[in-house]
Amino acid sequence: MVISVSHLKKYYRIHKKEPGVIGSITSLISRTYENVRAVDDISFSIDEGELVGFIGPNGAGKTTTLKCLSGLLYPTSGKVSVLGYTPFERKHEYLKKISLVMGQKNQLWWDLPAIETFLLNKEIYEIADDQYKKTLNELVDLLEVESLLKVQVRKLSLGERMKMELIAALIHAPQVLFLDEPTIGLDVVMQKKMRDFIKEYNTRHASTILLTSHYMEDVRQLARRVIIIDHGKLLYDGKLDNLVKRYAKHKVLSIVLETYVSPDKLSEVGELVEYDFPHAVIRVDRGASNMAASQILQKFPVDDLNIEEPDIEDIIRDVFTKKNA
Amino acid sequence: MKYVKIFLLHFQEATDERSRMFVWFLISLINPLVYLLFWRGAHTSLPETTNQWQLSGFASYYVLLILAGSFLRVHIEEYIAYYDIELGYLANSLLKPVSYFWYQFFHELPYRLLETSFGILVFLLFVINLPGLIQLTGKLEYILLSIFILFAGYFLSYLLKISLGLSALFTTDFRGLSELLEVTLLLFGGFVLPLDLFPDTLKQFLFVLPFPYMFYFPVVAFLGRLTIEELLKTIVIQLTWIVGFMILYRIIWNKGIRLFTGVGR
Repeated sequence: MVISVSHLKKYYRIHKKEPGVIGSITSLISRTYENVRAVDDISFSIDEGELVGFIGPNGAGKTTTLKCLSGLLYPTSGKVSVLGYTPFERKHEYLKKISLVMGQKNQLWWDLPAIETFLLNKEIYEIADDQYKKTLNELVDLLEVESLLKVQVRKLSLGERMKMELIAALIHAPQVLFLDEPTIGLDVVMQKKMRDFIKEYNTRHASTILLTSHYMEDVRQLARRVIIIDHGKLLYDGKLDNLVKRYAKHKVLSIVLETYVSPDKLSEVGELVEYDFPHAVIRVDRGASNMAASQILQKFPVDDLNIEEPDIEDIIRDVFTKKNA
Repeated sequence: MKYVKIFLLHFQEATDERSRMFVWFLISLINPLVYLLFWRGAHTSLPETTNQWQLSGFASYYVLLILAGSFLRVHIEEYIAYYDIELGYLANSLLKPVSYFWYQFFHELPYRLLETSFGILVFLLFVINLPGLIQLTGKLEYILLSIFILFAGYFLSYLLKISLGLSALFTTDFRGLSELLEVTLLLFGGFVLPLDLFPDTLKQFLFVLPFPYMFYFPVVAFLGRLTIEELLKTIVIQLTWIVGFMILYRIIWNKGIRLFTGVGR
């Protein structure tokens, strides 16, 4: 087991102020504070080489958890162990084995070419010359950035910078990688390139990766296992396939009609979610999908019909909705 | 090697920001020049008030203060408070196998050295254009002890400023504290006038504080105004304050880092 989290809690104390001048004057004399439960008693473990998706809405506690795991934050209570180390002690041997990439934070030197940051990291992580060259070449090839190495970072596009950030974070070949929104702000082409890279890196190095992303496509493409949290609490931990079986109570019939059928008639089969002739989408109970499909084929002039799982984003939205209901 | 690389990279960065550095240097330059002009006038009209400090003494003091201000006035606190703590970039240092203390030390050093190079140019201008005006100590043992006092003063100044910057982990009102300290340094560091001219009782009190040992004593040491005993006493007091500030830094770091959120205060 590479990562072990047991009853992790991280609470913040925040100051609350009433609006306006009166509120400001009152807060000068007496301040009210509130404890925010960013992470509230979560436990999980991750094995070597696993790539796990960490999902939750804004403010769910994903980033806070990653920060606790990487050693940035001191937990309020609970036990965290990564590679046998207590992250918050931030021992140098530990820091040499992990990396945290935050999509909205950068470590590259803005006014210098990215290669300077890589060379600095080479010294900081005490990487041997041969190893450095080998790793750098591999990463540069995978991310196709050779021509950009000597370009001032401020002149790079967001996508190019993100690639360079990844190289800077991986130059010491970490065993455990925490990726916090690595594709945020990137266009769809660059998102795919990033995903392909992460997948390839995980396969080649058998590194353990914990990934948070708002883009479900990232999670769907990369992670077989997902951990879902909301309001600091763990809602689900398991395979993505099982999540679908457990929470998706319906299936989706996607139909292409030969001739026009009225929406009312289509609604007799199930919930008509979308209809833009000749395409129609009908939601039916999971157990009744085969029956509904056969009914459609018998009653309507159908050119094509597919039985599909609902969108993963819808399922996760359902999970959050049910939890918050 | 890692700290050499950190130093060299920040040196590259500092050379890129030479215009900003020159503005900072002007601050170090203008204050002593204004006071020098003031004392030039005061000396002409009231020579008896400055019997121990002849005009050349004042000139030497303030010209050296330009150099001292460039080298010894560490400006790391705002960077730490705003960039590292308020914006959360401290995370980058915390996640690397590197000491934050020494990282910032070698971050700041190139800026001080480059700013000092401006100061040296001004110093040379005075020496060349007004020969004999600047009087420094010429004895080797005095020079060696003065150099030690200079570097101890730098380290003391660095310790104070890094601790001040990290205080932003605890308070949202960092700037108030920073301004207060700047005023204190101006007065008690010897930037307004040589502390030797203060009344004896106040002087006795001031010489217990750390501020004169950051700027004033390095300057008067190079001017040759201290005896060997006084130089040694200065070093002992500097080392005592360094130990005190190291302890203060460790306390602030160990307690403050637990409050760091990684996104802001």
